[in-house]
Amino acid sequence: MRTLLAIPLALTLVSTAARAHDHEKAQKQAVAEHLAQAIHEHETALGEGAHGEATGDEHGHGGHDISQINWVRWYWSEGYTKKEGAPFVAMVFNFLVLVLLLYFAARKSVARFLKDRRDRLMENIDEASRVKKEAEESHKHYAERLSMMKQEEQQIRDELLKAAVRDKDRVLADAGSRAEKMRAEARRLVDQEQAEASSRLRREAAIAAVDVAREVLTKKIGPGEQRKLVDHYLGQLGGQVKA
Amino acid sequence: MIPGALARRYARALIELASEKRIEDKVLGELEVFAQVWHESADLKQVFAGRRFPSDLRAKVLDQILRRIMASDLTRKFIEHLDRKGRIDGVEDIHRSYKRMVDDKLGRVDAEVTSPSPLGMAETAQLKQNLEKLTGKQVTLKQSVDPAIIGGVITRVGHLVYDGSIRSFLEEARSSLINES
Repeated sequence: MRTLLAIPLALTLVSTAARAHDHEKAQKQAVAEHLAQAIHEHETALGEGAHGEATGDEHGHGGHDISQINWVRWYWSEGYTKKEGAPFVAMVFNFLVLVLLLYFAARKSVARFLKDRRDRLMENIDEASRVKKEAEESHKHYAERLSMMKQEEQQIRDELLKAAVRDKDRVLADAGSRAEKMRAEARRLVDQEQAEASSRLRREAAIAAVDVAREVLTKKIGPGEQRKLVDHYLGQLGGQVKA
Repeated sequence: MIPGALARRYARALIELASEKRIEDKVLGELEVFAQVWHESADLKQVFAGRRFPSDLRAKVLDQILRRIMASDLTRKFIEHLDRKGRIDGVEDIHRSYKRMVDDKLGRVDAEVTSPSPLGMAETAQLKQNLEKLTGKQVTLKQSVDPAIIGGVITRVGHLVYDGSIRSFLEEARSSLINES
């Protein structure tokens, strides 16, 4: 339906535009001719020495005269020339028809469009309000969080500082304790080394003494000493027998 | 080689049979000779090891040896029995167990005396007498010479050791000095 209405509307607009163009062209041509004729007559009057100014020639003035507008002369009117163009009434009528056609054709769709547009605008306004509200809430929320985070940051900083101080004290205490342990261990190792060295020396001295004694005894013990040793041994065995 | 318990079982059976005929010492002597032959002869061990040779050949070899040592009937049957049972390689263990049992039964004990030089007759007699009084058994002395003990005497009786050597004295002195240090 809308398409059916749009086609004649377009045709009418095209026709009107063509006519308006033709009319304008014809008017321009008529004005040009009229101007040329007036210039010619003026020059003629100057040449003949006549008092152009006194006679008050109606063509002596430049510009348009409203009486020259074609108000109601149609193509078929008597004495009509193409120079006059379409009557002004017809153009007004055309325009009114165009306005009516536009009104009836586009009234509903324009109203619907405007309504939709208004609805969309309202929705957009509502959405914008909602978003704004949310943004405000979010801003408030983040502002609170920022404030809390600042507090937490300060709290964490204080705790870290305290922990660092505690760690420093503990590390110093541990280092002191470890140093004391290391000193004690070193003292113990030194004592142990000294004891071992002393023991080793005594052991070596004992072994050397026994080896010397063995050599001496091996050389010194002869048959007489061996006999005494055997007698001593037999005496000990006899003592065990009596016991 | 056979387990000690098995050797003692064989020795106990042999001493019971020998006691019936009162020939414990005779059987001990024969068994000692056979064990010594077995110990010294690698060829004899090869003949009987793994029973690779036929039984009649092994019996002939055993017969020759037992004839040489003039073994009694009991000793002969005992050694042949060991061969049949495949236990002849344990004859040395059986001999040791049998000797201990015979010595216990007859009240005898072996004593080993070590000195840096041989002992005199009187000293040996005195030592034997003292040891017999000490153990309450008849002592058989075996003497050996070892200059390494420097001086004094060492006597072993069974598991007991009576050490009166200079070497042991020096070792004790060294241990004492080391322990004190």
